[in-house]
This record gives sequence, structure tokens and C-alpha cells, in this order.
Amino acid sequence: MIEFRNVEKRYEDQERNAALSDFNLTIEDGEFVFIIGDSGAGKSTLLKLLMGEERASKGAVVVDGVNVARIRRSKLPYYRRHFGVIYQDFRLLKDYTVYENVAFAQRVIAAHPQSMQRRIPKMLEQVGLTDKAESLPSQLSGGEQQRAALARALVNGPLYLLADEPTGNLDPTSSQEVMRLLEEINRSGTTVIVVTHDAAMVDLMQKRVVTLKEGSVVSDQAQGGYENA
Amino acid sequence: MRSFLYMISQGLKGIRKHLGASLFSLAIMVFTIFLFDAATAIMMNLTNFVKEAEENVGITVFFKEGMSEEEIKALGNRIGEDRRVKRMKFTSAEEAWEKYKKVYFSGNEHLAEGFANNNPLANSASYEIFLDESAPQREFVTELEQMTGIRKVNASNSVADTLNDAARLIRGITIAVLAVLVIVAVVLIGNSIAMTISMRSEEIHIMRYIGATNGFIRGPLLVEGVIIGLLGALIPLAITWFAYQPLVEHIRERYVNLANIFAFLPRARVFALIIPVSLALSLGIGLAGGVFSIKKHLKV
Repeated sequence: MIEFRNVEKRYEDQERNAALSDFNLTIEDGEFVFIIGDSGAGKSTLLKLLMGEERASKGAVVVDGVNVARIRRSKLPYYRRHFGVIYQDFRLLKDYTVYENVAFAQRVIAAHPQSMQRRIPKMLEQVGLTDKAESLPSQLSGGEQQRAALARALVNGPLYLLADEPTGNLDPTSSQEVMRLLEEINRSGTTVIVVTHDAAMVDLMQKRVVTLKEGSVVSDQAQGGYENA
Repeated sequence: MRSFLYMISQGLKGIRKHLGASLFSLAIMVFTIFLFDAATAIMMNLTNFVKEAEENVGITVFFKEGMSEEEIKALGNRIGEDRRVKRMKFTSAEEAWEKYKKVYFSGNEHLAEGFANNNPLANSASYEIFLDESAPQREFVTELEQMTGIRKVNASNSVADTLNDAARLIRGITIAVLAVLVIVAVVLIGNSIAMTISMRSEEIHIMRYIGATNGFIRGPLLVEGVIIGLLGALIPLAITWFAYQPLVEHIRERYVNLANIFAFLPRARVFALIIPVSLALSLGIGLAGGVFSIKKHLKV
């Protein structure tokens, strides 16, 4: 479970407006949540606080009962292994094949080679990229790149999947494909948090929608759409 | 082990990706370590020359007038008990006079007969003292001069002093130049690693978000520094190793007189010191460059 308890986040160069203020949000295990809001609403800060990249100025971000701000720097990597992250720009390693990109995530956590041999093909199969395993990212379409990034994010079996504008660079068909995969992943028990501007996807999925404005939650709908949020 | 091999392969990849900067760092390292190796070899030989000079040029001690031979020998025994003394040779007044006659009255022995019953060197009984290699001569001479019963101490410090001065001068210059070069090498290696950090910023960001430990992120960068450092030591070590013996032979042939007086240290003895110290120095520079760059450019 993820809890933001009265969180305020003020960056050093922000004297007046805080990036997040009096921010409260609870996400239960296994939920699928869209976080929407205009630029500067605090979406990126929310992700940074969750990943321990930034620390709350006030209040607490609590994940599975652990206050993220209290995690020692040396333990932060192990905490981050609970999360898988995908981005709008995919962030695949250009010189690595699809297989190597996914393997990279396993190597980072010093996974056993046998585990890698077992998990990576399975992951590629799940995202439908088995036949593209030896392709470089430049040889893939946008949708395929995002699916490769998804495989990399999931290969270590995270509890939470954070998707930062996952369909921002994709055509509608690819976007739907990625969303279908996210839903499938969510059904298998992974909590999915999607930060997006993609109104069509939010409307289509009919999941919980949390709307941020100027660093606070202004709306939280259990099954909402983009327009009525 | 898997992580270690991965770090080495990534470290090599980093070097390959910006070969120019890496080679420049390597060249400075080679020059720095070469200077260290050469200066150390010269200083070790000079120090050896000094020791040989002190060992072969003895200290001669003369005693106060009126002291009997027994008293002189008793005093000599006291000196001989000193651990620094390697060996001693006693020359009685008679022996001194005989030696003198041989040198100065050779062919005119009759001239010396006038002194037959009156040894002009009656007060010239002496001990010639040779010190242990490691003992500093000057300090020992001062102690002798302060002993009761000793009239005069002759010590030939000039050769030892000159060599010592030369060794000190070389050491001073080398330390000053090395200090500058070590800093330059650290900065250049740091710069080379900073390039890797900049080129791999995307990868490092992904690694961080996937949950890579700081060690895993820093490892390849430190390996890069260590590889440049170690190569920077091995190249000059190979050069000095192969150059040492021919150079010594050349000096022996060219300066025969010098070679007769002083023995050069064997290569194995010189390199027994140079190899571990230059490897440690280069490793230290490589790691320092890595740490310096990581602290400055990498937020983990």
C-alpha cells in the first residue's frame, strides 16, 4: 500500500509555491490508478517522491509501512526494486538488443543466469516481442519499444509499476496495446500507477482517476474518465 | 563474480568509447610512473654508493698523548662493543712508524735511523673503524669525538656527503615533479571518467531506477580508472626493466673508474621495490581519479 500523508514538497528554488502541498493519497495493493493533471500539477514530483529520488519537505510517503524518507541512501536501491518504471520516451539502451535491455535489469540486481534464461524469454513472450529479441531499439516501432521497456520494468517482478506518460509517443493502436498489457499486468496482482495526459485512454479504461492541481488532489474517482474528473 | 566480470567489461567499454581522452590520461600516467621508476632506480643506486663509500672509507681514531697501549686497547674494546661497528683494525705506534718509513724514507732508510730510539709517531697508535652499512657515519664520528681519551678522529665524509647531497637533490626534484604529475594524472583520469558518466547518464539513470546499488553503478567507473592506472604502471615498468641492465653496462664501459669504485645494484633488487610501489601508486591514482569524478559528477 502507498500512502502520501500530508505531504509538502518544496524544491530549493521554490520560495512561494510548493510542488505538492497538503497532499494526501492512498493507493491500495493491486489497484490501477490514473494520475492526471496539467503540467506543474505535481505528477512528476509524486513519482520522484515514490522512488526516493526526492524527499518530502513535510509529511510522509509511506510504502508498505516504510517511510521512504527514512530509508538510508545505501538501502534505497533495494527499496527501488519494488518498482518497475516505464517512460514516455522508453529510455531503452540504444546499443543493446531487446533481449539485452531486459537482461540489463536482471543483471543490475545480480540475478542468477539460470533465472535470466528462464524469465527473459517469458517476459518477451508476455509483451509479444519474442521474434524481436535480437533487434535494436532503432529497429522497432514506438509501440514495440514501449513493450520492450515494459518487459524490462517487469522482469524483476516488481510490486508496483509506475508508468510516466506511457502512451505519449504512441499512435492510438499502440496505445491501446500498451494499455491492454498494463491491465493484464494489473490483473496478475501488480499495482499500476499511470501518470498521463491521454484523455482517450483514461476514458476507455474506466479505472480510478486522481486529478492533481497545483500540488493537491482536487478529485479522486473510483471509476472515472478524463473529462468528468 | 558475475558482477565483477560485468564491471570489468563495462570499464573497458568506457575506455573504448572515448579512446582519445583515455589515451591522454594513459600517456600522463606512463610519464608519471616512468619518472618515479627512473628516479627511484637512480636514488637506490646512489644510496648504495653512499653506503659502499662509508663502508670502504674507514674512520681513524687517534688517542691522547701519554696513554699506554693497554689503555688505548681498553678504549678500543669499548668502541668495538658498539653494534654499529662492523670491524676494527689496530695500528700501534711502532707499526705506524714502520709504515711511514716505508712510504717516506724508501731508498734513504739511513735518514730514519736518527729516530731509532725516539719514535716520532709515539702518539700515533690508532684504530681504523669500519661501520655497518646501515649506520650513519657522521653521527658516529661526533660520538667518538666526545669520548674521553680520544684526541682526533679522521673521517672521509666528502664522498659520502656528495653522494648524499646528490641523492637528496634528485629526491627533492622528483617529489616536486611527481606531486604535480600525480595531481594532473588524477584530474585527467577523473576527466576521462566524467566523460563516461556523461555518456552513460541515461544508462546510469535507468540503473538507479531499476535498483542498482551504488557499488554496481560506481564499479565500472572505478574499474576504468584502475585499468588506466595499471596500464600506466605496466608500460614504464617494462621500459625500465629492459633498459636498466644495458644502461648499467653502458655506464660501466664508459666510466671504468667509477665502475671500479661503485657496484650498481642488481636489477632484481631495484625492481623488488619499484614494482610493488609503482603498482600501488598507479592503482591509487586510478582510484583517486575515479572517486574524485564520481563525487563530483555522479549522484547516486
